[in-house]
Amino acid sequence: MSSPLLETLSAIEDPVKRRAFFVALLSRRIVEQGAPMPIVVGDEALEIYTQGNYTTGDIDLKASYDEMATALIEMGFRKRGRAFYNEQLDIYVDWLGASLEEGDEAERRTVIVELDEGHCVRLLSIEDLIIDRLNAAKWWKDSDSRMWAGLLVKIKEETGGALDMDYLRRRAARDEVEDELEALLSL
Amino acid sequence: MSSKRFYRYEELKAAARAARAKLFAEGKFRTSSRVRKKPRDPDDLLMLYEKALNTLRKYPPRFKGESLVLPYFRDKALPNACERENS
Repeated sequence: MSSPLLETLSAIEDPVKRRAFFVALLSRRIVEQGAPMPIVVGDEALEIYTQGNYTTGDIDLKASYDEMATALIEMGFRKRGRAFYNEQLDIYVDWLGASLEEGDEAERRTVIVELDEGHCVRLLSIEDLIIDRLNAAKWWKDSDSRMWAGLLVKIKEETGGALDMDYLRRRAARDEVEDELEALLSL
Repeated sequence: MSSKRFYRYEELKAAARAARAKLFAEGKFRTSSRVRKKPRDPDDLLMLYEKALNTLRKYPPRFKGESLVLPYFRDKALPNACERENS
């Protein structure tokens, strides 16, 4: 990647925007190489959906490894195991595999978020991210995650879309978080 | 003992980046493994929730065709990577 572009990214003071636009540019490079658009999962997906109210220090990606690694090395990232770091951008990328553990249906449900004209990122769906947060609450004892799951419900409502309750319940049953889901929906 | 008591923000930012780079090189920088287990104070959590709702009201998300638009990222008051990308 050209250094002017790196400079442009590193000049973005807001780290939330810097990470999001970085993912958009990385996604474009990966797609240009013929691989599917990577999927942002976990905390970074939550950071983007909440428009910066949740903040994270790293970017968890599901992507074709070779194309992703090529693009990141071009961008001046250093590699260590499955992780990549760029000091100038102060961005840390963690590769979590090529596809979603949640399955093909979750991949089909991913959401394209348009950050600006021509700059898009692909995120885990809100329903799948809600289940991810409920898992964090139940199994990792991260009780704050319940609040973030509740906020994701509000965000979905605000978009004018309805939560896919059938899918949510199926996912909750598979991950054994039905109790968490029912508690969330009863609020 | 260091007597320095005043730092510019840029100094701290540079020091933090350098520290993260060093930790990464040593294989010790793994933010994803740091799961927050200590819950926030309920009042803090409520305040965080209200702050997030305010953002949602200020920047209401909407669908444009098949894509979701999150207006926060288009806020022209802040630097925009896209406008300068090809300059």
